[in-house]
Amino acid sequence: MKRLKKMDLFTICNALIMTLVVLLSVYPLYYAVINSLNDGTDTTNFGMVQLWPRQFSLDSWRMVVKDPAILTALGITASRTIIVTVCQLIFTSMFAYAFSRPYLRFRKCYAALGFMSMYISGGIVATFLLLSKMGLYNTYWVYIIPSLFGGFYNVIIYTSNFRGIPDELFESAQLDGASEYRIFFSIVLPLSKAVIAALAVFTIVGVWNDYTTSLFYTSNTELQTLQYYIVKLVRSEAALEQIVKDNSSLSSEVFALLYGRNSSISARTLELAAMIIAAIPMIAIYPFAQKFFTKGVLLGSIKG
Amino acid sequence: MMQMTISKKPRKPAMRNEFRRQTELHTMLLPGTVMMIVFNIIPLFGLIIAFTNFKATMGWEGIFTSQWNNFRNFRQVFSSSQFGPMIRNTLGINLLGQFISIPMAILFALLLNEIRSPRRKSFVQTAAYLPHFLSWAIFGGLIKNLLSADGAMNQLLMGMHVIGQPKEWMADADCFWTICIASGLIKDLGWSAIIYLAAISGVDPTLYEVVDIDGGNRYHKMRHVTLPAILPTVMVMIIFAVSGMLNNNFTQIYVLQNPLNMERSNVIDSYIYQIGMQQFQFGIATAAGLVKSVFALLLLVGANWTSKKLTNSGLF
Amino acid sequence: MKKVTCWLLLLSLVTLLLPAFAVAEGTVTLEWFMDYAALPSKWNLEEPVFAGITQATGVQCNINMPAEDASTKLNLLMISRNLPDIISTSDGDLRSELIAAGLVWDLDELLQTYVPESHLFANFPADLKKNIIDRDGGWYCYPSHMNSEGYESIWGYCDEDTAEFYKATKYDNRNSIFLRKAYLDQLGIDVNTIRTEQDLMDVLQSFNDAGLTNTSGASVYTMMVNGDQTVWLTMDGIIRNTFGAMPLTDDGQYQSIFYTDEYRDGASFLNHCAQKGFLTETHLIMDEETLVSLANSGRVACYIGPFTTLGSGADLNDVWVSPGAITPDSGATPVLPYNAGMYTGWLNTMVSKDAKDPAACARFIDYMSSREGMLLHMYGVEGVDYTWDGPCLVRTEEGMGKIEDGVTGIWGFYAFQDAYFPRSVEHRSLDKMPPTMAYSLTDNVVVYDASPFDIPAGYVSENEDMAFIEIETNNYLEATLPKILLAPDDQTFNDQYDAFLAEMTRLGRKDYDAYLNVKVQEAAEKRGIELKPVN
Repeated sequence: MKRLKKMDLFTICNALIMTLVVLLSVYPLYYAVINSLNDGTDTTNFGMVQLWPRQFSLDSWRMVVKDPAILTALGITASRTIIVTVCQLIFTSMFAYAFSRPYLRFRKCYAALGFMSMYISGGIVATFLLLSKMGLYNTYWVYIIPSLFGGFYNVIIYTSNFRGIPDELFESAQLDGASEYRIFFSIVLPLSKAVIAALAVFTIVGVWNDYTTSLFYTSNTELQTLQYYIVKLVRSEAALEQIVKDNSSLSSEVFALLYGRNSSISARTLELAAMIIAAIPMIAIYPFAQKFFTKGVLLGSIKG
Repeated sequence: MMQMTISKKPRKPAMRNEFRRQTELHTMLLPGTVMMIVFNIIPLFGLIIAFTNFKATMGWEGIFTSQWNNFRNFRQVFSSSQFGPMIRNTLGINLLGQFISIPMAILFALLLNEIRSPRRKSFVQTAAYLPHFLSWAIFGGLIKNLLSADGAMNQLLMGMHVIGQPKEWMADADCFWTICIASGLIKDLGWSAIIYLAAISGVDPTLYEVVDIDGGNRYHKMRHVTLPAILPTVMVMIIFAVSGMLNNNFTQIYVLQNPLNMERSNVIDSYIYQIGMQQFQFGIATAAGLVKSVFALLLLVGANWTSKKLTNSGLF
Repeated sequence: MKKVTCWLLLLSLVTLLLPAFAVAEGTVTLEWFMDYAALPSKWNLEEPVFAGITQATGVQCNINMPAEDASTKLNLLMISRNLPDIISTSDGDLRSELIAAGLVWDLDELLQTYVPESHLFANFPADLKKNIIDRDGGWYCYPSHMNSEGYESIWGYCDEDTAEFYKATKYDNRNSIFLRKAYLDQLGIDVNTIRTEQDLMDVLQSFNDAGLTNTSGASVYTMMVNGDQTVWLTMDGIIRNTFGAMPLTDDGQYQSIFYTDEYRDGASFLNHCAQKGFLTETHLIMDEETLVSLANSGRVACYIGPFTTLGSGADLNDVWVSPGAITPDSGATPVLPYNAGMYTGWLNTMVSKDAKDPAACARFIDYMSSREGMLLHMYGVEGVDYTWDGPCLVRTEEGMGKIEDGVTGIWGFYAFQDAYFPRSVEHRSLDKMPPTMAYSLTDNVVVYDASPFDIPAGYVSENEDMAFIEIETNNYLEATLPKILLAPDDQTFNDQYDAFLAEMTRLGRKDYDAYLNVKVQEAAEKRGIELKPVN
């Protein structure tokens, strides 16, 4: 039997609000896309386009993908993202599970350690020295090893979630003689799919977008991540445009020698094209994660 | 019944069992602990830089051998003539911002939850989370464009006869906080709602059925089932927001700032950035970072205590 | 999902193991760190420029050019005692730090030891070398884009016309008052009749009253300044010069230029523009992108500032004209600062004392600065990228397309671009005086030697108090002056300006000025320049 659709006031209002939200959210991305497809000199001379490209040009997109180095960068970023996300999910949730057990001894110590590590930082100099001494500087492992653990922030989120799982489940499992590991893997994890999915999204996006690791902790271009490759591409274009206009420190000699680039790309359009290309995978994964945000995950487990 | 409730007192398992359990738990904690100690605690030696006259040319040994400088770095952080306004702006933007954006994100998550068709729901969710991926350089540029004298905002307001003349909104310092908060909201609403959506999906559907049976409508469901269920998550997010009071989204401020709105747009992070641009100033950047960290920790403890008192849930 | 993950992991591992570009036999690989360059991320031996360099010197370079924050990265490398072999940096403070800590080779010593027959001993102009030694305490850096008269006798000009051209455009000043020719013509005004401040005001008033529109019907801004950079580019670039301001007190001591009456007059001029409605808030918060797009779509009638902001097409010289230096109503004489003391380089290249193969570094520098090397990395391969037309070379179509493309390396090695070398090979002729020359060609302009005001790098930053005052006062200047420019009437303007000066002094600017004065007086004495304000 079909259910009648309830078209009450609330649903209408909600629909209107959601439409507004969608428009406000999609327009900026649309704006980015059309401008990346606009000729760069045209953008520089006449400003950004609002509705449709004035002068269509694929050159900005071409510029981003033409260097084969982008494939290496993509490989590094993809592998790094997958490895780090999986490791973080396991280690952080495991830590959080143990931390969430009220009968854990020395809980306060772990909490203190956690909050200290979250809020107080030794700064980039100390981290750099540490990584150098560990032999991680300028190697692939600098992307993996320091990031194996997800940080105490994520621990707190998991903990809040785990505490909400009813004690009866634990008690019955413990009576059955199950070890903590067993309880964790077979009971807790399956019940926490939603929060794991959410944190997975945050982690994936965070790792994917990171470029400061490449910037400070590597120097080999074989090791650059996708985002760093893009930042570099865009910055070098922008830096040159900037220098040509820098009045204070340069003589006219420099200006004379740094020819203006003629091209159909400008730093702006390049930045946009690159940003979109880098964002596409991220935008694509979200619908997969959403599948976990369904209701009634726990339904049936107690009654069973 | 997956709700996030307060924990109840556990029953103590048997003695030898307990030892085994503790061991298992501690081994679960081990990897994380090692990582935190190695990568977060050990580098704390870098904090020495905040207290000394260290220069990069001294090499790393210089960190330990340079002279104590009598808190000079700290004094410089506090002695800017702009210190007062910077604090005011930082706190103002953050407090007001969080005060508005957290409820909005929750509201959005609730409304999203009410969408019947899963496809539409998925579509709206994905759309809402898109602006997060735009860089502030682009998004800020778009905002500035829209708010300019011949931009869409003025055209809209004049068309609706709200104002007679186009106004240069970005030049008005008093509007800055609003612009900053509103633009931040558009950009990150969908993203911030994710965590609340995850929490909402954990609510036991049978509780909703109970409300139905009692003759309640969706408002009752929200008020009596959903909201209390996600309260612990909300409190966690609020506590973190409070402890982050002194941190601004620097990129956003940098893009939206201009000479005429400076008195409302100058924040602590802008100052630290400027100092950091000068050579030899690792010391000041570290000192400023340390001061902010200490404050953040204090705020964290305070917020957590308050949360426990008010809602009986907190971080620890 | 699991399968996809596995494949992805495999794929990424495979890409990691992809072989690097071939390393030639028997070559040394050097780590080269730089701020700016138009080079590919890898030293590609397939490209003739790179192959040529490697063949001549036996050197390959790992190019390390951070996307941003290069100075921080270099600092980190310094701290961990892991300096790259060759360092090219535009950061003066960093340079002086490296030198002061004894971390880089003295080039004389380096070349004497490893390349005693180096052409640099003959080809590096003595006056430039002396300046660099004055600046750094020794010849530690090879500069790029240097400006030195000594070079004229080393490289020379390729033909008469070229010599004429460079002589005539010696005082090319990028900053000026520019008016759009089309609108002047439309109103029947001849640019040569604009001689005084009042004349300019009248012209601006006419622009305003005429209700100009561009070809698409959009409104035209009567005047335009550099938006959020008005203080640094407009005021410091052109206004202060037009109104005759020099950063000196009456008795020849250095003072910050905004203390002078002439600077105040200049600000007052802009204020009058604001009072008349030509200058508004919109102008002062505008970012450069918007400004450029407005200017190029014909929506600006009068632009005051550096010409380079408007872009770099050659046809811009036809679009804009300049009245040159106008005489202010106060009767002051316009000035033109000229840095006759050499400009000692944009990028400075140094060799680290820790370099494992100093001989290779020496050979590299020697080659890259030689005629042969410069022809290769600036122009490309003879016959393919350029041909000789008598004494001058002409780039081919192909060659033109490769400039700064970041692939071939042509015109990409900024660190080794000698500013004078192109003059000896490229032909330039003077068809038309560009509008940027108008300022210096005006009769009553007084040119003064501005080199004493070049404060050596590191002087301010090594004194923390002064560095602090500098930040504070500059921030205050940036935040306050635009507001003063928008004062509604003269009385308010003057009151606010007085308050501004008082606050500057309170923040310690006078102490800062005294600190800088030491160096200014030193430099003036060394060069035998008398410091006296023109007005």
